[in-house]
Amino acid sequence: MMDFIQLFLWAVEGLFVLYMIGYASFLFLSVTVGSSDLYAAKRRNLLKNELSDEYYVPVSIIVPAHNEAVTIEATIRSLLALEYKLYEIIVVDDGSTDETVKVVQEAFHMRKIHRPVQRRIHCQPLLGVYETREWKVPITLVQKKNGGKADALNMGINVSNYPYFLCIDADSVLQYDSLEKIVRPVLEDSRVVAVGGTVRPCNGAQIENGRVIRYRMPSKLLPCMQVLEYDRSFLASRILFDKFNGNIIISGAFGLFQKNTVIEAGGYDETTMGEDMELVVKLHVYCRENQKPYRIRYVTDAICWTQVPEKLKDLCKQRRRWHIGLFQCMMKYRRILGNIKYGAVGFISYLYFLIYELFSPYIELLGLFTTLLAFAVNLINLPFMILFFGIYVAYTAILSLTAFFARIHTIDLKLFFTDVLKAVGLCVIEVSCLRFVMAWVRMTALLGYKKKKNQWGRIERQKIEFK
Amino acid sequence: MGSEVFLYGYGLVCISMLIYNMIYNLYSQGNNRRLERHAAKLSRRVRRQFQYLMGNQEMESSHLHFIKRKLSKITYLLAFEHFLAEEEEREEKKAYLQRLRPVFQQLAKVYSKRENTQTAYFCYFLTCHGKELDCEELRRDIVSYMARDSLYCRVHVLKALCAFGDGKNVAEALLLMEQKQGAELHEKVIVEILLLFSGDASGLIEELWQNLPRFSLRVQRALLDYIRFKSGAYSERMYAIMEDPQADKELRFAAIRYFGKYPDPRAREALLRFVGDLNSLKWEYTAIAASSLARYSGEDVIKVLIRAMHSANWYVRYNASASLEAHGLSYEELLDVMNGDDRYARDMLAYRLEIRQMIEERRLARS
Repeated sequence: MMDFIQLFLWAVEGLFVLYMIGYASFLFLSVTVGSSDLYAAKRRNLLKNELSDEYYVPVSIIVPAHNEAVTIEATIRSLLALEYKLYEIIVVDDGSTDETVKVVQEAFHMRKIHRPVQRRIHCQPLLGVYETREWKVPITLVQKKNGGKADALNMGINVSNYPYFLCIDADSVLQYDSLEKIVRPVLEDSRVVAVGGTVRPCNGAQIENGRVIRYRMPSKLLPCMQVLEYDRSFLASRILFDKFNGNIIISGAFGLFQKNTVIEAGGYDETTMGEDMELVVKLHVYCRENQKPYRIRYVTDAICWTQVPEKLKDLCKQRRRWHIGLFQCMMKYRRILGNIKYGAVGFISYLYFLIYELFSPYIELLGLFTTLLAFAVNLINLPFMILFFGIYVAYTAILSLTAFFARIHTIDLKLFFTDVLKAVGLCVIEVSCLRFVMAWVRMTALLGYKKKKNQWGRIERQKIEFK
Repeated sequence: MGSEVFLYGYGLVCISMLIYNMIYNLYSQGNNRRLERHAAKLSRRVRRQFQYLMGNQEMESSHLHFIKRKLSKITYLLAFEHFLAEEEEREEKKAYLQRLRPVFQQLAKVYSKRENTQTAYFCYFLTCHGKELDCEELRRDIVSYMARDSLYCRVHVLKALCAFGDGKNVAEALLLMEQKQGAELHEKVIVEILLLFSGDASGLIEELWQNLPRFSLRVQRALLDYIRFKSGAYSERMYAIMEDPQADKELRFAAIRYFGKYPDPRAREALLRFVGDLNSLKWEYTAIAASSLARYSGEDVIKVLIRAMHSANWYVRYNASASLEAHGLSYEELLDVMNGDDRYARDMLAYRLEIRQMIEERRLARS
């Protein structure tokens, strides 16, 4: 029996050495590449190596909304404050049961209009269209039968007039220059079919007319830790994936897409909860299978401010939804894993998300189980285990801090001493506590998911202070 | 042992990056001050030369050498640009820059050997302050930068050449870009930069027409768009493209749009013919021509647009309804469509009329 346990422990040890080397290498690469890329971008900006003139690509901004009466007005006002000339705003109300429609109608003086809609992608029936021409750009409010976020986005695509569309969440605020920045890759390279922007937590930020007046770490602990997490994700790993056209996620909170390509690929999949990731993977698959030259880009200086959950319950809900979305997407496109036809997307991006995102909670559970087993049969060196855990925490915390410090290379963020102190203190807690809570949430996410798979999932909204 | 090497190695690099970032943060905080110091140092020397020039004296002989040495460094070029941007436009400034021509001819050679970002910045500088520095040799060097595989370098080269205002150089640069592999300029970017051309636009357009077949289709389309934005004096050649069945359809569309902006009696017949042709395979011609007919009056135009309202193609109906709306027809005049059996045509037209009403109400409210 002991021999069998020893054999099992060696096997697990071997697996974990490979797992940790892979993860450490990825984090290391993403943080170093991300940091140096941000540095190069700042230098390019200093030397005017950018498209700074008014080159306007027409963009339709689609805001899917379901029971967003609290935040929708501020979101639309932030969109009206954008320093861009050629765009339209389309709010798609997905069968809200609160006063979302009434708030928009009254705040922006919308009028019901009989607008013919070309239904190029399937979506739930239209209930009514409202428009106004009283503002800087046309605003359209589309009321439709409830069908989920993806369905609302498909309706938005059908209603849109312009060749590119930008989807944003109804609880997000765009920085004044974000539209100009997110269309730049399209002007730089005609093969670009999608561009993802940077999403930053707005808890703790003071925004006036789309401009950040003050950006400090939030006062509450949970949003603070999410700031570190977002920095690691957006300022590091997405830059690395961008280097080999391997990004398979563009956040649903802020992404620009070429409309025709999205329609040709079939639009958003309304049967999945991770419609944002599903669309990006679908675009990779569609373009590669049809041998269409394409690029999916990520830009660091196009910023969208979003509210991150301030309560653990809401954060768990959000992460559960993300994990189910990830699972659905990985299952749907499992054929791309290691398939040479899909290049680096199948070999690197898909594999990374499979092992380090989808399977990681289960692998971590296996690690915990093995540790307990080894402890039970007295095959563990306790001081060494504590030392190993300490090294793990220190190493991940250093990487988090490196990603956090990389913000000095971004154009608009400054470093404050108290924020540095907060970051140093919280990165340890984030790595050693929050990470395990989230692993548990993700591990249990798939239990009973079939029942809840098409629900929007309510998260308590705070009113956005948009001046 | 193997995993420890990884761990310590990675950890060491991360800590180095962390330290680097902290030092860089302190350094970049001082960057503005450094730039100001450089600008102040340059401005003292340059203002002294301004005074000589004001007193009809010549500049110090050592100054050209000094300025060449300094401006060979990118930080000083940045500081010099800041200084010039803040300095108001006056005669001494112009005279001073004119005397720097030989320096910039040499600097063009210096920056031709630098990395792309610096070369691009050198061109940016010339775009902002190059008018007085302009000379044939400098322009020739700048044109040669266009062979570089850098988008920003190409953008700034084209801008600098447009600021100099010599059409021949601009056409030459575009041709060089076409010959060399590398970053492609978006059609919109080409058009917008050409619109900044400071010289004789008709001369530039003539150069572009002459070389048109030598450009790729994508650039040809951008050039036709530029011509459309700039001048209505090219109906003859545009007509030839529009009516040439051998020409690429994108170029023919550009020509149809041209006649939407500049109404022409001869083109009128062709546009009516395109809209009248309801062959579904040619719907793009029909849709664009329907849009172009917005500026053509006459009963035959209205008739053909109303017929287009019954097209099976959504875009044809959309454009035809927009053109009918632009003709300012009343609800009664469009009664046939509004009371007809074709629901798609009726809905589209009703929508356009509602939009017109909304816009008119807004105008009234504002006035």
